[in-house]
Amino acid sequence: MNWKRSVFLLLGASLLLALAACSGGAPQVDWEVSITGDVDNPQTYTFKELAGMEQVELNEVMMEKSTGEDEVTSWSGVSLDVLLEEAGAGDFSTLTALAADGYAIEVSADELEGAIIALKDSGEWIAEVDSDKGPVRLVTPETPANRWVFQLTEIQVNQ
Amino acid sequence: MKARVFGRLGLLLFLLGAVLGGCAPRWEIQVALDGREAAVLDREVWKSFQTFAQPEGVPLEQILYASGARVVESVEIYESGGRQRAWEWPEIAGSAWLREDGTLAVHQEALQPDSIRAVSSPLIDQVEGELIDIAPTAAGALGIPAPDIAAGRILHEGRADRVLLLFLDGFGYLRYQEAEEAGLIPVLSELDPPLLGVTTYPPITTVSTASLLTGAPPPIHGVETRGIRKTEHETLLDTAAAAGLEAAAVEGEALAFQLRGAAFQLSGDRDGDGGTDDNVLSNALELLSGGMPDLLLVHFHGIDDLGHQYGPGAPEEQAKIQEIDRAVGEILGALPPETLVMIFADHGMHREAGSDRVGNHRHLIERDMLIPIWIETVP
Repeated sequence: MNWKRSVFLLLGASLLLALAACSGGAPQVDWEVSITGDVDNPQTYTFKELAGMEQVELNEVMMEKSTGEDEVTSWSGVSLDVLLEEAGAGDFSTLTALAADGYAIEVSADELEGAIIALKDSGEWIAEVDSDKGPVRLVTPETPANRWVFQLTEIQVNQ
Repeated sequence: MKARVFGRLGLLLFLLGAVLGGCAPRWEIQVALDGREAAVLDREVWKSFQTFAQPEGVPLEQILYASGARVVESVEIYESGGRQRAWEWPEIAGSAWLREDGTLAVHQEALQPDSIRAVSSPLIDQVEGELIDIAPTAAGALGIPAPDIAAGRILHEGRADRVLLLFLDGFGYLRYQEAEEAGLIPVLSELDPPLLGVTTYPPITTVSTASLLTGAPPPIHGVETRGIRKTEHETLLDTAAAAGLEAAAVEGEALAFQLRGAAFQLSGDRDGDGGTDDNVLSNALELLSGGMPDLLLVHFHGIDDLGHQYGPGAPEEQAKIQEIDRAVGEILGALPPETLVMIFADHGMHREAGSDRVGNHRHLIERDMLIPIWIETVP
């Protein structure tokens, strides 16, 4: 009697877990990314808002690491151009990307072609598979990976 | 019935594991530094270094640093069979690994050492200062407390109204000597000669910056490997902020390490000339023209960048040294009176064969570990 009940409970729990895993829904993450600096309409996006926007895929991007072997990677997330347009950024020379761990880097405008604010790495939410490097990461496919700021919290636009 | 069988089988496997574990061969290695016993290694001690383990083992120089070595010249390995091997340390600094079973792998050759005898560089006896002395010295000059974990000493007595820390990334002591001999650094050569200093291990910018700001070595501040970009420990910038002083920093295109407590300005390549040192200089001069803060850190990255790319001594790197020497002159000329200036490197650089980087810095060798520290007061 008891073992039958346990089996049913186990099956039920497994089914719920499987459904949750297959739903593709964004994880609950308390995170914000702001677009500030020389813009007309500074913006702040929650993780949920970013996850609800149109997602761009970057496939087979070479990740040039400053240490260790380079790696071919795939990312998806929100186009940086879209966010900058919403914030009313005009022409600018550089962006400063700031991370929650204190890292910051100034990236030239001409290095930003195809850049996204990535939420997924190889189809998996960064928040779930590599929380130390997430939940969002700037990915600039035309540059070495020292510009791919993880734990991204703010992008300052510099004229 | 089945449960009992599985239970007994489990118990048997557990006992077997325990017996085999207990039978793992014991080993012990004596480590001596400059003829004095420095450490005794065994499996338990090895495990305390596990954080640093690579697939090849724990870097021997990590163990030598923990045993008190700062700059190693040579090492002798004595094996139980009476065999003795000897190397100049730069030959094997990046290729000597201690494994958990007590085997020492050197250039992929497996040795069974009884003792390891390291000899320091003769220059170590002439060392007059350390990177970790800079924070206590700056704090003393400003009349504020040193960071609470600071272990360095004060290199210069006396008060100053302001302190400038001029950070020349990758400009090691031996490279300074060569540059002076070649006439590349007329501005720096005009100053009083620098102290021969030593940085902390591993000699890489993030770790060195943590040592600079906390005044403590890596085992104390905890930033011991690449990839850690902040410390929770109190830094010089924190103590300055707590004392109500204004602290600022002018960095290159990126913040190598969190500068909590300071207003920082990045200096990306906004003019597109391929370098950031001219941007660092212009940002620093602009800041100084508006009044120097109580504590200012200015970080030039170019000597390190070009040293990696072309190697120390290459024409491109020499031109960069000349450029930064001129920049130092411009900054010194813009300082207000009663400013204490400390000019220093975080590490040096050596040429590296068989790497995608022509120059590199990561070993307990003279070229990587020895740094110049200039101390000047603007009258």
